[in-house]
Amino acid sequence: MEKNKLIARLCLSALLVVLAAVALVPIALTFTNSLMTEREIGANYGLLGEMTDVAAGGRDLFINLKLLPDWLTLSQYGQVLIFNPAFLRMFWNSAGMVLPIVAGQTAVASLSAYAFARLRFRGRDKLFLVYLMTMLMPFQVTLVPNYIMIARLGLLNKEASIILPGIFGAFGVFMLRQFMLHIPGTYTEAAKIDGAGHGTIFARIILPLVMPGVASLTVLLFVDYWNMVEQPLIFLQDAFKQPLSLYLAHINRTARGIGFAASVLYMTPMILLYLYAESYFVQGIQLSGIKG
Amino acid sequence: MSRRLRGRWRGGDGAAALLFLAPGAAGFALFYLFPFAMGLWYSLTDRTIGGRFVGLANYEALLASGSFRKAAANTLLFTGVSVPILIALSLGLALLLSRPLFLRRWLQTAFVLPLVVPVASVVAIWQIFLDWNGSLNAWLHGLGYGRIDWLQSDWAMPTLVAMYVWKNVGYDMILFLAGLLSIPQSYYETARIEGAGRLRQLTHITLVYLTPTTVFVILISIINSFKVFRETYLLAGDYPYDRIYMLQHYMNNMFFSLDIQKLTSAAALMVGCIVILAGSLLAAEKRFRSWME
Amino acid sequence: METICSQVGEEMATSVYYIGRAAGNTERFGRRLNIGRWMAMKRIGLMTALGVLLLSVSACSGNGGNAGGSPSAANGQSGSSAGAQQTNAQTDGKGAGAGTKAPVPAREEIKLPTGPVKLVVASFEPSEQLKQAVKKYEQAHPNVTVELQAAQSEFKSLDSQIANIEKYVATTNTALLSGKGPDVMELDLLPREKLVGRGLLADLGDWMNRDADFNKPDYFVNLLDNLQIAGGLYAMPLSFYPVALLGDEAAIEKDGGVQDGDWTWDEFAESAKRLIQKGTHPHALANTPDYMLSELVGERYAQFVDEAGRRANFDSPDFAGLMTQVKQLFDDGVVIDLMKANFRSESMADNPKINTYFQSTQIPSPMEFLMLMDQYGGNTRVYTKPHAKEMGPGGYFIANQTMGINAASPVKEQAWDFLKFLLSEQGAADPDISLGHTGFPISKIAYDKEIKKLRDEGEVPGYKNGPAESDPFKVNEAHLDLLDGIVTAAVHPVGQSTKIGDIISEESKAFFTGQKSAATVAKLIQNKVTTYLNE
Repeated sequence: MEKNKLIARLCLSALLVVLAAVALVPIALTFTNSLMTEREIGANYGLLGEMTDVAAGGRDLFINLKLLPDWLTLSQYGQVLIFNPAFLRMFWNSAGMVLPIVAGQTAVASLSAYAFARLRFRGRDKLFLVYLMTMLMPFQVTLVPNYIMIARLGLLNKEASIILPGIFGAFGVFMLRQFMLHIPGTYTEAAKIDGAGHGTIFARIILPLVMPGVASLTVLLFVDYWNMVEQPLIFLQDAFKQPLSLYLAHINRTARGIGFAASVLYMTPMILLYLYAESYFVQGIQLSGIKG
Repeated sequence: MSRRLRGRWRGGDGAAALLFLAPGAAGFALFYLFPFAMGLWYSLTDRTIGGRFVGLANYEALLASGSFRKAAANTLLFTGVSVPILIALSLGLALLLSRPLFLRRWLQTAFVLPLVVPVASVVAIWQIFLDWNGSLNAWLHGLGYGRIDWLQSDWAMPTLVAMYVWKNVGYDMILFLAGLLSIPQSYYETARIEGAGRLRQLTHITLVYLTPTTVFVILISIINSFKVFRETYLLAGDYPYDRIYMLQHYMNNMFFSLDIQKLTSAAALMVGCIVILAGSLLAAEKRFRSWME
Repeated sequence: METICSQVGEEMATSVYYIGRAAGNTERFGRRLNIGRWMAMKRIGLMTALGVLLLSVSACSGNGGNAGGSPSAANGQSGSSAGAQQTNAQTDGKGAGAGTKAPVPAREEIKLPTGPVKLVVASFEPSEQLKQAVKKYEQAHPNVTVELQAAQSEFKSLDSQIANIEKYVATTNTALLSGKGPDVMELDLLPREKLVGRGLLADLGDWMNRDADFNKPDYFVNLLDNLQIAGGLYAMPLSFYPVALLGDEAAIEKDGGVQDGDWTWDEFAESAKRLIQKGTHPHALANTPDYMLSELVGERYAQFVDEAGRRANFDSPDFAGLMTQVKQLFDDGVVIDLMKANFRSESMADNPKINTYFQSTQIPSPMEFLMLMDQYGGNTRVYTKPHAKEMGPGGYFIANQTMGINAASPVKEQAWDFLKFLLSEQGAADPDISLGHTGFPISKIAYDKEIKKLRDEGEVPGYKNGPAESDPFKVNEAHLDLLDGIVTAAVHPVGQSTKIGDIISEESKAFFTGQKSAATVAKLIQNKVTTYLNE
C-alpha cells in the first residue's frame, strides 16, 4: 500500500516535471540566449520575419534554435548596463512607481474589500458590480476621459499620474474580497460577542487570515504594474520618467541579443519577489492550520 | 480606538462600511468611475469635445459593421474555449501541488514563472517558434511535412489558446492555491472522521469552499483573455488572420482611426455582456455566502 | 564609423520592416531622409546621383555592416515613384476647390497677443531645420516661448521605430481628442483625414485667405491646392520632393523607343519587355514585386475595392492573374528585384539602378537633380510616370514635413504666425545645414534663391568623404529650366500609404518568393481587406 502510494507519487511528479519543463522553455531560452554573442544571435535568428526565395533554395532555410550558446559571454549584459544609461534609469523609475502602487493598493483595497465582504449595507452588491465593471473596460475606452482628468489635476508628465490611479485600482478590492469571503462567520462571531469593533476584527482576525491572499495580491500587482505599457506611454511624455516596461515594450529586431539580456534583468525583481512571497504562502498554511 | 467610536460602529454596518470604503472611494471615483461614465457618455454622442447627444445611433452603426460582428464572434469563441481549458488545467495543477509531491516547491515555481516574462520577450520567443522560418516549421520540415503559417491559418486560434494558457496557468494556480490554503484543515479532518472518501472530500469540501475563488478566477481569466491581445498584436499586427481578429483589435483600430464613438459603444456592449455573466456568478457566490452564514 | 554604421543599420532594419509592411509611405521617406540628412551632417559625406541612402548603406556594408539592410533603402527609392493611385482614386477632384471657395473672407492683419505666449510644437523627430527655425522665431518674438516636443528622444530605449511611431500617434490622438495637445504639430505620421473628419485641425486655407500679410503666389500653390482634405487645407508641407521617372534616352531610342505621354503600368511593362530584348541594359526598372503589385492594384482600384459597398474582390481570377503577371515580369528580368540586387558594388556601372533603362526617383534637391540628370552619360531624360488613365496629366510629388494647427489651440493666431514663419523663406532650410536633403522648400522665393545661386555659381562642388566621392561639375542651365517645369507642374501627391496597399504588399511577399500559392495569398488579402472595409 505504502509502496503503491510512493510509485503513484513518483509518476505524478515525473509528469509534472515534464509539464513544468515545457512551461519553462521560453524562460530558459531567454536566459541562455542572453549569454550569446550578438553575432551568434544574428546567425541563429536572422531569418525571422523573412520570406526566403524558394527559387534560391528558400524551402530548406529555417532559423536555428539553440539552447546553449557556442560562446558564453556577458557582453549583452555589459551593453545593457554600461553602455545604455537609459536602462538603469528606467529601472529605478519603475521601482519608484510600482512600489507605492503595490503598497497603496494593498492597503486601500484591504479596507474596501472588508466592507464588501464582511459588512452589510444597502447597495453593496451593486456598488461592487460597478467596481468590477471598471476593471473590464479596455484601456482605450477610458483613455480620453482619463487624460482629461489627469490634465485637469495637473498631473500630466508626473509620476503621480501613474501612481494615483494605480493605488485606487479595483483589482485588489476584488481579489481580497474574495479571500475574505472564505473566512467562516464563526471566526468573527466570537469577537463580536466579546464586543470587538470592525476595526479590531479587521486588524486582528481578518487581515492575518488573508495573508496568503495579500501575498499573492502583492505578486500579481507587482507583475501587472511592472509590465504596464499603455498608461506611462500616454501620460509620461518625458522619456527620463518612463518605466522599464517601455524600454522593451517591443524589441527591435536588430537588438535581439540585448533584448534577451534586458529581459532577464527585467524579470529578476519579479522572480525574487515571487520567491519571497512564496514562503509567505507556507506561513499562511501554518497560520490557518493553528486557527483551524 | 475609543469606546464611543466603537459604539457607533456597532450601531450599523452602513456607517462602518462608509469608513472602510472612504479611503478608496474618492480615488476610485476620480480615476475610474468618472472616466468610465464619460466613456459611456461618448458612446451616445457624436464627438468627444462638445459632442451632441445622438441616442443609440453609434450602436446602430456598430451593429451594422460586419467586422465588429466577426470580432465579437471570435472573442466569444476564444474566451469560451480558452477560459474553461485554463481553469480546468490550473485547478488540476493547484490540487496536485497542494498534495505531497517530489519537488513540489520547484514545480510550483516553474508553473508560475511564465507570469513574470515581459511581453516583449514572450513575443520574441513565440516568434522563434511560430515564424514561417521558425522552429516548429523546421521540425515539421524535418519530419517531411510542409510549413504551417501558425498565425495565418486555422491554426491561429489553437496557437493563441496555447499562448494564453501558458501565460496564465501560473496566475490562476496561485489564486487557487491560496484559496485551497484558506479552507480550514479541520473540515477535512471532520469529513475523514465521518468516513468521506477522497472524491467526496473534493466535491463536498474543496470545490464548495473554493466557490468564491472560482468565481474570482473565472472573471480574472476572462479579463486576462483580453490581454492576450498585446502578444497577438505584436506578432500578427492590426489586421491579423480572420479567426483571431478580436474585439480588442476592433477597438484598437477604432482608437487609431479616432472613432471614439464606435470604440466606446463596442466596449459598452462587451462590458454589458460580461456584467450579465458576472452578475450571475456573483449571485451564485451570494448563495454560497448565505449558506456559509 | 563602425558605430554609426551599425546604428544606421538598425534604423535601416526597421525601415526594411517598415517598408516591407507598406510601400511608399511618406513617413518612411521622411525617416529615411532624416537619416540621410543626419549622416550628411555627420560628414560621412554620402551623396551621389543615386540618392543618399543607397550609398550610405553600401558604405556600411563595406565596413562589414549589415548588408541585409540595404535593399530597403533602394526599395524606398523606387517606392517614391508610386503609391499614388490608391490615395488619389479616393481624393480625386478635391484639389479644384481651393480658389473657388466662396465667400472669400475679408483680408485683415492678424493680431498677435502681446503678452507672454507659450507655443507647443510637436514633431516626431524634429529636423534641424525646425530646430533652427524655432530659435530664429523666438529671437524675433521675445514674448513667445516655443516648446518643441519630440517623440523620438536621445534617450533611447530598445523600442523599434514602429513602436515609437505608434507612441507618437497614440499620445497625440489622445491629447487632441481630449481637447488638449500641441498647438502646432507635424502630421506626417498622424491620420490626417481622420483628424480632419473629427474637426480637430484648423483649416489653414482660411488663415491663408484671411491674413493680409500672406501672399499666396509666393508659395507653390499647385501643391497646396492639391493637398486639400475635405475641401480645406489642413496639412501644410514645409517642403516636398518631386517624383520623376528618369530614363536613358539614348538607349531607349536605340532599342525602339517607348510610347510617350500618358501611359499605364501595363503599357510600361509592354514597352519594357520590348526594350530588354535589345539589351543595352539588362533590366527596365528596379522595384520590388510586392510594391509593383500594389501599384498595379492602385491602377484598377475600383475593380478590386468597392468602398461604398464595403466589398473587396481579391479572391478573383483577375487578382491572381495580376500577381502572376508581376511575378513573370521579375522572373523574366524585365524588372529587377531591389531586394536581390547586389548593393555592395560601389562602382556606378555595376549598380543595379544604373543598369536599368528607367529609374523611378524622388528628387531630393535641385543640386541632386543635376547629378541625376548627369547619369547615363548625360543622356538622361524625364519621362512621364506611368499612371492610371483617370489620373489626368501633371507631375507627382511627395509632401514632406506637413504641419497642422490644433483646432482647440487657445493661441491659434500665434500658431498661424509661427507656421507662416516656417513656410517663409526665412524659415526654410539653410542650404548649408540641409545639403539639400530636406527637399524643396514650399516657399517659391526660397526655391528661386537656391536656383539662382546654382546658376550664379555655375558649378556644383564635389564631395570628398566616404565612398561616394564625386568631382565638381558644371551646372547645366537647361536642366534647371526643366526642373522649373517639373516643380510647377507637380499636382499629384503620392507616397501616402494606405492600409489596403500595406496589406497587399505585406501578404504578397510570400507568393513572390514562392513560399505560398497565389490562391492562399489572395484569400488572406481578401479577408483582411474585407475586415478593414467593414470596420
